Amino acid sequence: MMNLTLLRLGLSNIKRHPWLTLFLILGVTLGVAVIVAIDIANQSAIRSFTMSLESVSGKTTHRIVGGSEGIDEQIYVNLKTKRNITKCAPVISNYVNVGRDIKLIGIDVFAEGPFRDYVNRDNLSLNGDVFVAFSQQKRAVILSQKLARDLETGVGKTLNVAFGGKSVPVTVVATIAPQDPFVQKSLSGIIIADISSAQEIFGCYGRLSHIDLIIEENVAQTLSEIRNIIPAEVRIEELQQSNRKTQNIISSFQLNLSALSLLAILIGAFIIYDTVTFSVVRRRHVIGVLRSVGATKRNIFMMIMGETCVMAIVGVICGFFLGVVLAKFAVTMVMQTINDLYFTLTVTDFSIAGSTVAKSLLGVIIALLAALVPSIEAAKIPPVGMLRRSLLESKIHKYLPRFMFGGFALLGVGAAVLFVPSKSLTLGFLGISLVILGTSLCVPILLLILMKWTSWIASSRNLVIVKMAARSIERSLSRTSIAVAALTVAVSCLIAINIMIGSFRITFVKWIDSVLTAEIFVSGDNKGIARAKEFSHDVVDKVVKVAGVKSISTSRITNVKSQTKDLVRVNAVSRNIAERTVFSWTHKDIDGKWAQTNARAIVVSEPFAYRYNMTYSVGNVISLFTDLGLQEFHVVGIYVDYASDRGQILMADKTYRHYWNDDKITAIAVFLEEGYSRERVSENIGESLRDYADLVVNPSENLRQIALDIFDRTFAITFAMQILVGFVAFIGIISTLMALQLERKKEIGILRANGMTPRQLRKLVYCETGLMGGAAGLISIPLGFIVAIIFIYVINVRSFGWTIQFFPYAKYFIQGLVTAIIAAMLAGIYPAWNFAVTNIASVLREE
Amino acid sequence: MKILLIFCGCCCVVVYLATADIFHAKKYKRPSVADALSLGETQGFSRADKPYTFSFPHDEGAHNDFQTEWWYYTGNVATKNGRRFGYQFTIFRRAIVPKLEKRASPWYTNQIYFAHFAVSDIHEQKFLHSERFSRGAMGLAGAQMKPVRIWIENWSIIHNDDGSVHLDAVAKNFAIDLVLRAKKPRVLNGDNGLSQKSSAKGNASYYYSQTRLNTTGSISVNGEQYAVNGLSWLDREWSTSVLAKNQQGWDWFSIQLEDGRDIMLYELRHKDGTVDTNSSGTFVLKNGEYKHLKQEDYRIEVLDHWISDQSKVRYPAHWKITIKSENLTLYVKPHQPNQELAVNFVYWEGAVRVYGEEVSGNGYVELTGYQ
Repeated sequence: MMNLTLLRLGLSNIKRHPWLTLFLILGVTLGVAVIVAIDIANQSAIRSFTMSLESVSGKTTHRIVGGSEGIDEQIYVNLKTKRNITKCAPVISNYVNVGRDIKLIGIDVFAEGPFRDYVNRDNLSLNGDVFVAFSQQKRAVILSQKLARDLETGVGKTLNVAFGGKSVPVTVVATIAPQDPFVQKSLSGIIIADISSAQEIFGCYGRLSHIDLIIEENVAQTLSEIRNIIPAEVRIEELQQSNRKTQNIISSFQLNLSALSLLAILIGAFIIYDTVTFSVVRRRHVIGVLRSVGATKRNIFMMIMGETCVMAIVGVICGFFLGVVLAKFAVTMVMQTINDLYFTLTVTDFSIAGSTVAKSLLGVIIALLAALVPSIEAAKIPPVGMLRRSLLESKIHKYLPRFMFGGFALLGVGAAVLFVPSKSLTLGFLGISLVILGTSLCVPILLLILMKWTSWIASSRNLVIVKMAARSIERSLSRTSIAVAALTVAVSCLIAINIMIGSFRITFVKWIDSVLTAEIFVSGDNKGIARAKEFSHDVVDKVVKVAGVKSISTSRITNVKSQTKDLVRVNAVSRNIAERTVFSWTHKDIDGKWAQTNARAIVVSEPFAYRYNMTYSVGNVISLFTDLGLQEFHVVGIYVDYASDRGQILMADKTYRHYWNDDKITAIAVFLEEGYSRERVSENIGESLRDYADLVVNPSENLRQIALDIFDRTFAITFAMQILVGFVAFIGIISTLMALQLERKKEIGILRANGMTPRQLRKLVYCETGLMGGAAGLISIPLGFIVAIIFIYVINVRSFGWTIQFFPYAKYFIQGLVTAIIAAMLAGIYPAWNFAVTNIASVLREE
Repeated sequence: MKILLIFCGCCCVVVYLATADIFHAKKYKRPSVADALSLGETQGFSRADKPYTFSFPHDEGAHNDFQTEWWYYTGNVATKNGRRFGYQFTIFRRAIVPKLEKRASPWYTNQIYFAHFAVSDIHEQKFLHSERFSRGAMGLAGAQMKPVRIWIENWSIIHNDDGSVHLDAVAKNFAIDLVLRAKKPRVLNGDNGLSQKSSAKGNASYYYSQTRLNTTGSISVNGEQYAVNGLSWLDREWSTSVLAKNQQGWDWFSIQLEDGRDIMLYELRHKDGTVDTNSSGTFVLKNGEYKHLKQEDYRIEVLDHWISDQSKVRYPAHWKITIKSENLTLYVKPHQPNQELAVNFVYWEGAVRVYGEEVSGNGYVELTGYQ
C-alpha cells in the first residue's frame, strides 16, 4: 500500500510550493463549487416543486377532476352517501396573491384526517376555540407560523388576498407549526380555509376544484365503482402520474444547467493535469534519487497520487462550501425562471441533498484521473534520472499525429452523434462534448503550426523576442498545448453561448414586436407567463366604454389536459387569427383557411408541434378533455411563438367557449381610435377598472419591456454559469502559465547573464503568454462557431422546440479573441515581475 | 494532517446539521368523553333545566338548540346456530355554536355529526369498530323528519312507516343491516325524562330509552354475512352541559333479562373515586311499566379488571349488582374482554352476559373516564 514516509515527503513538497498547491486546489474547488451550486439549485427546485404539490395534495393517490371550472359538489356528496368510499375529501383551491402567489385551499376538516397531516384533530380539536372560529367565522383562515411572520400578520388580524381582480379580506384564526420540517416548509406556500369560506372567497358556489381520494387496495375495482356514479365529463387521475408529467416540463432546463456545470469540472481537470505534470517534471531529480535509494515504481506512483488526493480532498471541501454559497444565488435564479416559465412554486426550498455531497466527491475522482498520466510518467523515471524534458517533448512530438487523428476521429463520432435523428438532449450534449474534446486533441498540432508560422514571420521581420517566444512555446508543447486547449474550450463555449443568447434575443425581440400590435393591454398582474391570472368577463364591458377604444380582442389562457394526461396550454383569442399578420406560420400561411375550417380547428405553436411530433401536414389531431368530454381537435397550422417552451394551442374564442363552460378571460388587447394617446387612454382604462385590485393596464411598450425582462432573467443563470466557467478557465490558464514560467528560472538566469535586460525579459514573457492566448482565441473562433450552431439547431430545439434565427455577429468572435489574449497576458504579470527581480547568481549557482 | 482531519470532521458535522431532518414524534393524547362533555362554550344553548313534555315522533329527531345529542343503539344478537354478536351503532350530533349564521355557502353549518359503529364477534373474540365524522350540511349528515332519518354519509337510522327502525352501516370489513321493532313503550328515565347528572342546575339531559327492541337482519364480518335475531336497546339523550368538573366518567349498564324485565343503571364517578349521588337507574317490568331507581336503591361491586393492550387502560370487567328494592342479585361479565373503542375518545362499550341465581340475560355496558 501507500508508503506513509513517501506521502509525507510528497506533502512536504506541497508546503514548499504553495503556489502550485493553491492552483491545484483552486482547480478542484472551482469545478466542485459550480457542480455543487447547480446541483443544489436543481435539487432545491425539485423539492420546492414536490412541496408545492405535496402541500396541497397530501397523501392523495387519486384525484377526481373536471374542466377549468372544477366539478359539481354533488359528486362528492354522492360518493360519500351512496357509496362506501370513506377516504375522499373535497378541495377548493386556487392561487391568491398576497404580494406573491400562494395557494388558498378550502378543505372539509372532517374528511381531511387521512389526507393532509397538518390539519388534524391535534390542531383543530373539536372543543377548541380555533375549531369554532375556523368553521364558523366568515372567511377564517389558518396559516403556518412562518407564513404569518412573512406576511406580518397573526392570529386575529385581517389579511387582504387578491383574487380575480378583487381584494378579499380574510381573518387569520390560527397559526400552526408542524413538527416535521418538510411539512413546515410545504405549508409556507398555502393558506387553509374551511371549504365554506373558500367557496365564499372564490365565489365558486356549487363547485369543487377536485376531490382527493386515497385508494390503497382493490384499486381497479374501487375506481370502476367510482366511475359508475360520476358523470362522463369528470375523470379520475392518478396523482403520481400527473405530478410526474408536470415535473417533466422542467427537466430539459435542469439538464442544460447540469451540462454547463460539468463543463466547469472538465476545465478543472485540465488545470489539475497541468499542475501535477509540472510538479513531476520539476521533481524528476528528487524522484530519481528516491528510486536509487530503493523506492519502487509503485511507491512513486502512489506518492504522486496520494499527494494529489490529499489536495483534491481539500479542494472538494472548500469547493463544497463555496458551492453552497454560490447556490444561494443559483437557487434564486433557477426558481425565478421556473416561476416565470413553468410552474408557480408556492414554496421555495433550499436544501442540500446527500447526493450533492456524493457528486462533489466527483472532484476527487476527476483529480485522480487527471493525475494518472503524470503519475505513471513519474513512476517511469529511472534511478538518478537525468531525464531531460526534451525527451518528454520529443515524445509528444512523436504522438502529435496520433493526437490529431484521435481528434479527427472524435470529431467524426461527435458529428455522427449529432446527426442521429433523435430528441435526446443527453445525446446532444454527448455530441457537443465529443466535438470539443476532438478539437482539444487537435490543439497541439494547431499550436505547433501557428508557432512555426509565427517564428517564420518574426524572423523575416527580425523580431528576435517574438521568435524566441514562439520557439519556447513550441519547445514545451507538452504543457503549453494543454493550457491552450483549456483556454480554447472555455473561450469557444463563451463565444457559442454569447452567439446563442444574442441570436435568441434578436429573434425574440423581432417576434415580440410583431406580436404586440395592439396599443394597450389589460391583464392580471402576472409575475410571469407560467400562469395567467383570470378575471371575469364584465371587465370587457368597462374597457369598451372608455373613450378612444376602437376595438378589443380578448384572450383566455388556461391549462387543459390532453388525452395523454399532459397539461396543455390553451390560448383562446376572440379575433380572427387568420386575418392577422401577427402569427407567422412556420411552414405555410393559413390565411383564409382558418375561417373555412370547422369549429374544431386549432393552430399550435412550434414547441408544441415539436413535442407532439407534428410536422406540417394535413390531418394532425389532438384529443383534449373538455367539459363535453374528450374531444378531437384538428391542427391546421403551426405558428412561431416564444412565449412558452411547453408550447400552446391557439383556438378561436368561440370554439373554446363551446367546449368549456368558462366565461373567464386573462387578457384584453385594446386598439385605439386615431388621435388618442396611449398614455391617456391607459390611464382612463385604469380609472374605470380601479375596483379590480390586481388588474394592470399596460401600453404595449411596457409589455415589451416586461417580456424582455423575463427573457433576460431566464438567461441570467446561463450567463452566470458562463462567467463561472470562464473564471475557472482563467484560473487554469494563469496557473499553467505561471508554473511554466517559474520552471524556467534557470533558463532565464542564463538569458540575464548573457545580457538580456529585465525589460526585454518582461517583453519575452508577455509575448509568450500573449501568443498562447492568441492561439487559443484563434482556434476558438471556428470551434465557437460550430458549437453555437450545435447549441441553436440541436440543443435548443431538443430542449425547447424553438427555431432561433442564427446571428453570428463578428463582435462575439472578437470578444472571445480579446478575452483569451487578455486572460493570458494577465497570467504573465507575476512571472514577468518575478524574473525581472531574479538574482542571477543564486539561480546559476547550481550549474 | 491532524488539523486536516479535525477540519474534515467539523465540516461533516456542519453538513449533517444543515441537512438532517430532526423529527420529534409528538405523543397525541386522546381526549376523554368527560372532556368532550364538560368543556366547550355552553352559553346560548338550551339546557335541560326544567320538566319537559316529550312528543313523538318529534323527539326522535334532532334538537339543534342543545349542544349534544345521541341516538345510541346497542344489541345482542345471534344466528340460528347460536353464533353470538354484539353491536353498537351510535350517531352523535354536536353543535359548535348555538347560532346558525346566514352564509352563502351551503357547506357552512353549526352542526357536526359523528358516529361510532362496533361489532363484537364473540365466537371469534374479535372486536371491530369504526367511526365517521361529518358536517351536518350538504346532505352529508343530518336528522330529518317525515320519515325520521338520522344519517351520516352512508350510515343511517331510518324509521319505516310500520314503526320499525332500519339500521344500516357499512365499515371496511364489517356491516350491519338490521330491522328493530319495539316490544315495550318508551321509558322516560330520571324524573319524567329529565335525568340529572350532577348537582348544578341544568347539568342534566333529556333522556328516554327503548329497552326492548326485537331485532332481525344480518351482520357481516370479513365478507361473511350472518342472518341474526336478538334484542336491541335505544338510548336517546340530548343535553348541553352534563358533567361537573369533579366528575371523572361513568359506568352504564343496560340489562335485558330473559324473564322480560329490563334494567338501566349508571354510576357517575368522582375524580376521588367516590360515586356521585346523582347516579340512578330505571327498572322496567315485563309489561312495560317502569320505576325510577335512586342511587341508594342499588349497589355495584367490581369483581375483576381487564387491562387493554392497546391503551393500557385498566377497566372493570366483572360486576356484582344488587338491587335491594327488587331483591335481585345479578352478575355481569363481558362476553369478551376487548371491546374498547379507540376512536376520537377512548372508552369501553361491550356486550355482556348477565347471570344470577334465578335469572339470566344479556346486556351492554359502557365504561368511560378510565385512565
